[in-house]
Amino acid sequence: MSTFNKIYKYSRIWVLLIVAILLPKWIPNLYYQGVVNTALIFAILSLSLNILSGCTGLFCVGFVAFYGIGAYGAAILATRFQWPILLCLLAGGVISMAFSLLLGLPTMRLRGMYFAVATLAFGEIMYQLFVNWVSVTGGSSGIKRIPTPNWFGVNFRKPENYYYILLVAAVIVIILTRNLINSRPGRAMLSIRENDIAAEAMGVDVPKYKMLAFAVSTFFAGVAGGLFAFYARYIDPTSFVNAESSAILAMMVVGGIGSISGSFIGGLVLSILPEMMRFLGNIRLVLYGLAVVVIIIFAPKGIGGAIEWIDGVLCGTIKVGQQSQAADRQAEVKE
Amino acid sequence: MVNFIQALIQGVAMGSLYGLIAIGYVLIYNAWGILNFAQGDMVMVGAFAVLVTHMRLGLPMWLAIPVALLICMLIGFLIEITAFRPLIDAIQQRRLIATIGIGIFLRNLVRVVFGADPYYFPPIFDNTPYKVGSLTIVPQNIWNMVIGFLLIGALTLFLKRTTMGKSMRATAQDREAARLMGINVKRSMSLTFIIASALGGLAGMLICPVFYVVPTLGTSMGNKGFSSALFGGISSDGGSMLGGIVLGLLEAIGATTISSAFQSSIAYAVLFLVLIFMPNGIFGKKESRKV
Repeated sequence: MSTFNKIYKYSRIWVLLIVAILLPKWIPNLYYQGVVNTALIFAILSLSLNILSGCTGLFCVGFVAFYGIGAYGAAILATRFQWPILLCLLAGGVISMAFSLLLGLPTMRLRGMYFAVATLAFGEIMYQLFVNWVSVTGGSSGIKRIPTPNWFGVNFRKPENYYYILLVAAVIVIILTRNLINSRPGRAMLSIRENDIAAEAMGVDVPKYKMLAFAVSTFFAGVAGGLFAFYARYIDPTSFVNAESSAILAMMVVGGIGSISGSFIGGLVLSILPEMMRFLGNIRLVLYGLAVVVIIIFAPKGIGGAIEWIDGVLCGTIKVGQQSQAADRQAEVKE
Repeated sequence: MVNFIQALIQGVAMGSLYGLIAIGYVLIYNAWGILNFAQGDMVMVGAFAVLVTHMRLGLPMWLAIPVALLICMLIGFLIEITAFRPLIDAIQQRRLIATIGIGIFLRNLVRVVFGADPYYFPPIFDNTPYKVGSLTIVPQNIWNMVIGFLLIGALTLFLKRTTMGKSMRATAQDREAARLMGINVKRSMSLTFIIASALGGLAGMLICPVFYVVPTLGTSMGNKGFSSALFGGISSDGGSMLGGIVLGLLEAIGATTISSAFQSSIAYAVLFLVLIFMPNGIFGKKESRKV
């Protein structure tokens, strides 16, 4: 390992952090700042879906419902009960987690596609609930005048200030996810993804860890929803249409199933890309669909795979031209 | 009471269309082992194909529908070779996302070409309602039912009696074993896909006089279709027709007796209960699994 590798290995995270902190200075206008903020929220969402679908292998096609529950929960607590905003964010996550328990207890024994369809049904039902339960959610006119945080004398109404709240949240979620995956429960989740029957035979309590993964990921999704509510200051059901769920899934898969850096960057890229292509008009969504298919076919490990490879080369653990260890392992599994 | 029977007729008519869409899901699921999220968009493609052949090219209806069906089959085949065949050995999540990507692609391609405005389509069959006692019967509804059931019958005969159909079923059961028996696996899998696309497209053509033709038609119809497929049991061809009719009935009855605002939620709520209490559907066989 050369000196360069060592320097890179120890400084990479700090360089990234500094770039992230300085980013608003380089963003030319409010519009792009808004795009970046939304992208961060979606990156958190894709990261939390990654715990459920990427690491535990439970395919969720109604994930937006939990995002919506968190947003509505936080917004209602803040506007009607004047709870402090930080508490609202956490409460949004907890409410969303409670719903996941409600959904999870009967559906945890469903496998693969059946679970996916159950979550899809849940997503559609929740959307109808947001639209039709007017006395609580305000129906299609939504909830207006959601307060913005005003901490330490800084007004976070400006998008470039709110960016830092999102950044802190993202960093916390990344660290927690990383610790979770590298712990005993995390390994149990990975084993469930690979083969749930084999995992059960090895003594993994499959329903318990599935439930844990579901609860954790929906908690983060709920917090992301709350972050969205306080950022947008106005929410209505159109933000939580269930079709968005497949967009989040696409972010996770394009980013790389099971990869933290990948799903985070997948979230950023797939929400910024359509905005960057806005000059193309409606064709951008055609290209988006095409890009998703092409990435799936030609880059099995997604963006995350590429990032981990570059990272490995710079750290000196992978030599250029040599297959990565992960690829070797995959080849072995196939045999 | 009259209202109730009226709702029943409406429900069965809508349900047989759901059944047609559902069978597409079932065929593809059994052959490819995957839920095809783009199947709903094939319904939309079918609707737009007949819109082009009948309204734009001015073909008479008896010619317009077969031509539109051919277009659907061709598009289905293209989807299969681009997004399904390369991924046949990939893990399920990647394959599912590929079908979602294809769905996004189709939906937006149609939106770019035709715009997002709804199109009106004239009734395919005679649309003057008949009075039977105090009931009003629209021939369109009856025709949808008849066509739905005839097609299911024909499909079942095809799958059970012909060599091609048998090889399709053999492929669905076990790809490797079918290949060893000398069955052209690639061809029968393509054929399955093409038939499924054609059925989805046909359902779209029958639907377009009922609803306006919009690029997002596929999403709602697709969800209904695979709810029906699960109702009937994803492993059973005939069951999905019944599943479709059950769903159609539930929607119609729910809309008249409870509230039309919750019409689609009722279907989903029932789907939810079916999944919890009868995960294999009404007619599905229990799947056994091994490591």
